[in-house]
Amino acid sequence: MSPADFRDDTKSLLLSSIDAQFVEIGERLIADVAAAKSSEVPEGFVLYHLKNLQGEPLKDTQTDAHEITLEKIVQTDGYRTLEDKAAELNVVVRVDRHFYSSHPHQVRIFRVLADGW
Amino acid sequence: MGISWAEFMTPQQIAETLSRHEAWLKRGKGGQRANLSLQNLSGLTLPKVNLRNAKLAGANFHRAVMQAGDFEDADLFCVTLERCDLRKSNFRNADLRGANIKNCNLNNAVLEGADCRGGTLYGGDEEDEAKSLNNRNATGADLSGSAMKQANLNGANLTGANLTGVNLNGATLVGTNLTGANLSGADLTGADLKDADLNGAVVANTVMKDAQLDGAKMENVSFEEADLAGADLGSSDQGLPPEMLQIIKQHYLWIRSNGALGTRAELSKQDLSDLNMSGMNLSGAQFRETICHRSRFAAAKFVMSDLAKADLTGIDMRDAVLQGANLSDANMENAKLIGADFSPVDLKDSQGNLTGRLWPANLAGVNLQGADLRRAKLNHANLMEANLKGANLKGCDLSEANLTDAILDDHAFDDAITGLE
Repeated sequence: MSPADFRDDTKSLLLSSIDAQFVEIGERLIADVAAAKSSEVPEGFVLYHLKNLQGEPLKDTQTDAHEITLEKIVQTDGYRTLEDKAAELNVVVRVDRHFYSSHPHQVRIFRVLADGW
Repeated sequence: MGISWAEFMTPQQIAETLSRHEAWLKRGKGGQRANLSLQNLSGLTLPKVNLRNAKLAGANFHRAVMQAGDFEDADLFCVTLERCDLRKSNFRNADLRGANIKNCNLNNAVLEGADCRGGTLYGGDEEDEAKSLNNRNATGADLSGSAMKQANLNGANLTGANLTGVNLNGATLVGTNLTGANLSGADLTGADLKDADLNGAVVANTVMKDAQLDGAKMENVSFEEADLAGADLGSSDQGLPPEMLQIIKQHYLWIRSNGALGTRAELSKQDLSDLNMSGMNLSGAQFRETICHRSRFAAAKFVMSDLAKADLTGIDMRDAVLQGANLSDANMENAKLIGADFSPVDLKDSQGNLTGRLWPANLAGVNLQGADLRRAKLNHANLMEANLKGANLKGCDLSEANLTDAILDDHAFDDAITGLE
């Protein structure tokens, strides 16, 4: 396997993992939103951090290396499924990048934000 | 590749973004809504910056100087404003959910209608790791250590916010949602909290002197360690029966009109046991031989009231003002009187001018066995034949008090203030 093939393989695995994580979030969204709304101190949002293949927070340095853009991420089937689930709940979901560390480089991590209530 | 520091916005780019934004707000040519989300703008000096309605989610403004800035309706979700100078800034209706607003100067700022709620963070299978992630603020905006004197927080949603050590002296928080907020060590002296929702709030060592709490919701709030001296709980009914509320209402009118209107509260010989009348102004009211077992009168005012021979066993009168009151032969066994003020009243003449004549509280023959009088002011009080056996007098001011024939423990004055060498 050439380095290029290896890179493509990892890219494919990473996208599949992200896709699966969206599905997983969709499955727990109803319960999590209900808990946030009804907790003793009502909350205004629910956040989920996406993970990489090693189970660590998914960093933009990794997605950039595999040319996985935010646009590609939100085009996965899993994300569309999540959006549908959210719409049923009158909740808004979006993927954003959040500051993670600044040294030696600025690194951001991906997260899914659910809010709108 | 990651974004390096060199790829940060240049000062020129920031200035241009701000100019375009201002043009956008004015619907001018070349205008564009500012999107500074996730940008590092730490340490910048941007006085009177106009970022009204701008997208600033996740931006880092650490130590920025932005006095009188305009952030009305801005998206400041999870923003970092730590140590910023935001004096007189406007955050009306801004989205400040999950924001880090620690140690800021927000004196005279406006946060009316701002949303400072927290949220829940889920990190998949490794919640612990997720919890250690930077800039997380899942329990509500963190305003700890900030100065917010005279700030306007009317109608803001501060549910679960961390307000520990915040200086909110003179701030207005009318109708503010402070459910579950942590106000430990905060200074709310003179703050206006009318109709605020304080249910479940933490008020340990919170100073609420002279605060307005009329109509505030305060379920599951423990005021044990809060300083409520002079606080006004006004007409908040606190579960009082309607006829009692009517009496209180008439009494307030009587006080405000200097006796011209309303009726002085006459509650002598009535049974007020287990009622909560904390913070109410009952100055001048009659409570002779009234029974008040376990009643709550924390921070209530009884200036010149007559409570002679009242049965006040186990009553909670922490931080109550009992200046010049008549408590002769009252039973105050095991009463909670921490910080209560029994000091003399400087009498006024019919024109409202001070006469220079002091009117000390009368506690002759009072039973204060086992009472908690820590930090209470009993200076100049008449405590002749009072029973102070087992009373906690730590920090209690007994200077110039008359203790003739009073029953006292050995070493009773060890921790008290007596004014004696």
